[in-house]
Amino acid sequence: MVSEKVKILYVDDEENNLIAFRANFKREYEVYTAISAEIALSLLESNSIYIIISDERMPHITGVEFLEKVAKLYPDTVRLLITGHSDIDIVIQAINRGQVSKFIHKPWDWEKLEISIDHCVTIYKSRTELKLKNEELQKTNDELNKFVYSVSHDLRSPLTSILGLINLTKLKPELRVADTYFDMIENRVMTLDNSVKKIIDYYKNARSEGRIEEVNLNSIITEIWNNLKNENKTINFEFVINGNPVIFSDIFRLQIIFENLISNAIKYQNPSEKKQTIKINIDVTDKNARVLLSDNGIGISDEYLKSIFNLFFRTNNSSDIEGSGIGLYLVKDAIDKIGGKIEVSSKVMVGTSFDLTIPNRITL
Amino acid sequence: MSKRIKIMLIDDNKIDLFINNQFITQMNIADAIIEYPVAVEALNILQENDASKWPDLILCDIHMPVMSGFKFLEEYALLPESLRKNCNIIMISSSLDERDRVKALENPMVLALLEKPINVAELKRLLEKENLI
Repeated sequence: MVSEKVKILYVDDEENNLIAFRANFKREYEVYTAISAEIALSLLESNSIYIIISDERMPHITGVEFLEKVAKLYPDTVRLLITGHSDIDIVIQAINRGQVSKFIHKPWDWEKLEISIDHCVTIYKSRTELKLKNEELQKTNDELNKFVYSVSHDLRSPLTSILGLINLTKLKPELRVADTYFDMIENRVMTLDNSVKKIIDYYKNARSEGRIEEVNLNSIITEIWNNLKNENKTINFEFVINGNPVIFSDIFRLQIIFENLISNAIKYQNPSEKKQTIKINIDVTDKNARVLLSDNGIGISDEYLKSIFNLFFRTNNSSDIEGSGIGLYLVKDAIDKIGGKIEVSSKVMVGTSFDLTIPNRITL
Repeated sequence: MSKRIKIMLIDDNKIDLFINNQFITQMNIADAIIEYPVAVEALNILQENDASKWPDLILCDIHMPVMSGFKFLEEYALLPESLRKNCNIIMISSSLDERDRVKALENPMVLALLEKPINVAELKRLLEKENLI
């Protein structure tokens, strides 16, 4: 492809110009010439020519009209117009209708013409390269999709078997003696499984386009709470929604946000607190949903507070609690992707509260 | 609560077949559990169109070599309606893939999609709700 000569076509109704043009450029390019627009079009049809130079003044059809036709038929081509007049109307038309990349004055200066053509070749080459690169990128993306899909299955599949076996032992009274060991095994497997899930979420969040649909905040938060509440049964959960709980947003990202925030609020409770509490208060308007999520857990000290949304960041006082350092990063990324905002405030041993604004994308 | 059913398990992983067999045994809802590590074999049995060989419930894995759970569903759809109407299908998978989930739930023949490992209480609730046990 690189070593091949670039094909250029020159259209002019003056035979002498065509001869001179060919003589001057034949060494560097594969030159095609046409004495009329009709011949030019038939040449374009049978050869893949990407650089087209046309004279403005021709019988039957103007250069602008011809290049306009070419732009429609072969949008990938790079087009030049040669004109004897500096008529601003022609220039405007050539840009708007023929989408030309360069103008050349007639009579031309060979050196300037050469530079112009050279410039067009560069445009053409970078366009082709970009197209090729885009195709490669698309292919890599497709492969990555397949890769993540199979990894997510292959990694999780054995974990789910192990969890299944552990669950089975709990149903068999004669295996009770080993309960503590199985509990520990289960705990470690769950940690690994959660990390795998987080990694898949991270990948999906980074890539997926996002789809706006009806989301019932009441049902998704209740469902998440029901799935997580068994991790700590002593927590008191207070959940209030004011206004219509149905908003228009990206359900997948909202799930990531609430799952991680609620799961953290459960994990980082204060063990000496008598009344462990998680409060969620939501005010919904046509514009947005304002979510206040607070707990009276162990809290985060000021020095760490600004870093909690960073990838793989973990605070000192959380080191004996399972975590991957991905959760809050995912939350921040997800909220950015849906155009929302998140703010955090916290006091050590008093609690943490998150203040979220989620845009309501009603499209009526 | 008193009905006992015949259940067919399709999963390429023998350990998972064992686990699900044990779960169902513990639930005490089945009078027969038949295991197939290869979907094609399960299909062959169904294709004999012998009502006495048909189960009341099929638990079918999604990710399997040769014939995946989705391919199995395509072939299953071609079987006589008179036999299919007495049989229910629950898909099971360890995959979290959203497309798999949507694809499974969009299929009118699929009663539900359960994530592995199967939650016994969830399966029981589902079967009770559908009046199958």
